[in-house]
Amino acid sequence: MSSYLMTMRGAHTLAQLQQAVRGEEALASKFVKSQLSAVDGGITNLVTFQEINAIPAKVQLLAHGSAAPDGSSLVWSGVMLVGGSNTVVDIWRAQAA
Amino acid sequence: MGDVVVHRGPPRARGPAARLLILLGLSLALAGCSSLRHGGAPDPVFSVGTDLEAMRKALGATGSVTEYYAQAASVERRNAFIDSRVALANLAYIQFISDLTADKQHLDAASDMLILGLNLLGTAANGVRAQANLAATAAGVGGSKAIVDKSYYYQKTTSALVTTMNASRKEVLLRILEGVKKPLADYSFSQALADTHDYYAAGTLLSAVVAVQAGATAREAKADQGLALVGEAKVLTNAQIDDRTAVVQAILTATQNDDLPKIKNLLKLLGLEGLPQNTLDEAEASLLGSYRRVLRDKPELPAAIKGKF
Repeated sequence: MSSYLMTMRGAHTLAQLQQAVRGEEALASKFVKSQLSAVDGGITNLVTFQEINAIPAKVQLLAHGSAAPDGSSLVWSGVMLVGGSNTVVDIWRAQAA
Repeated sequence: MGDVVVHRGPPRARGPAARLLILLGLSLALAGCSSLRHGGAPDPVFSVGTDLEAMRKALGATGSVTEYYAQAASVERRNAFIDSRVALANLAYIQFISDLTADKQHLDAASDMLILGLNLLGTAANGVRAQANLAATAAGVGGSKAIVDKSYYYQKTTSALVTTMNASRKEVLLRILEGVKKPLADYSFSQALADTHDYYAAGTLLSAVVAVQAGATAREAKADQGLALVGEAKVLTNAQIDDRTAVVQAILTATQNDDLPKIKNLLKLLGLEGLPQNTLDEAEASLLGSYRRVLRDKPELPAAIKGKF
């Protein structure tokens, strides 16, 4: 299973970024990490996904330090551009039933 | 606090002459930025410079490396040192950003020097792609100056660099915040000292330009590893995600069950009937190799096929 990169606009809100990640994961891909990167002269979120053979449980993107969602585990924590500002984001994934 | 704060960026394979030119360019850029302060903005109601000096005096003992080593090491004294250094770095950074953003009226000197710095980095950087990216950035700042309001590009460039500095500082701060929770054996004073140096360095323009360059280099490294930049991930509604999930689940089930008729039907529904599908292997490869691209292009599934999976 190979990995690939997707950009996600730094102007997006956290809720929009969450929908973008969920939409990509619905293709049977799994979020790996995000990093700030210069793409085409602008700074954006450059997100790595890995192709898998199943649709993963839904993720939830929260500002760092927010309470952990029930029944979820932390899969990534780092800096993303959110609403044009750098923000520390935690990504939680619901545990499979 | 007499300790010299040094930049601890990643090691780079540049010649001494190139490094000197880069530092010269960025020093000139910084000199251009700080030459005139508070342009277009009211004078601050407090003096950051005075506050910094007062803090240095107040925190002189706890923020001094010499003082730290003069007494027995402890977690409390290590963390007090970190608090002092972080507080001083924060105040100095606020002052720096304030000066940087107040200098719009001196666009010509500042932006030209910034372009010089970027061009020098482009010349000195390793890797063809990194050079190309930096050259493109410099061109973005300087190439259109004749036809576009200069302040637009200055603001965009400054904003991008400040954003990078803020992000870099937060990353180092997270590392420090993790460190202060640990015992001395796991987070030594020397590591704390290095991290506070990094925290300071992350708030410099040189660091920001290097970070942008590192991003370009990272992209190159990813490409070398076979990672492709596919495109922009679109923001989907919950209904669109549910529809997409249903399609993909049908694809996964059909291929895992080696259900050739179903696979052929899915290829047809997705408009992929022209791909090879004479054998099960061919059909599976055609479907698995193309469905992501097709569905990314169709965030909203056509009504004709919705519900047929």
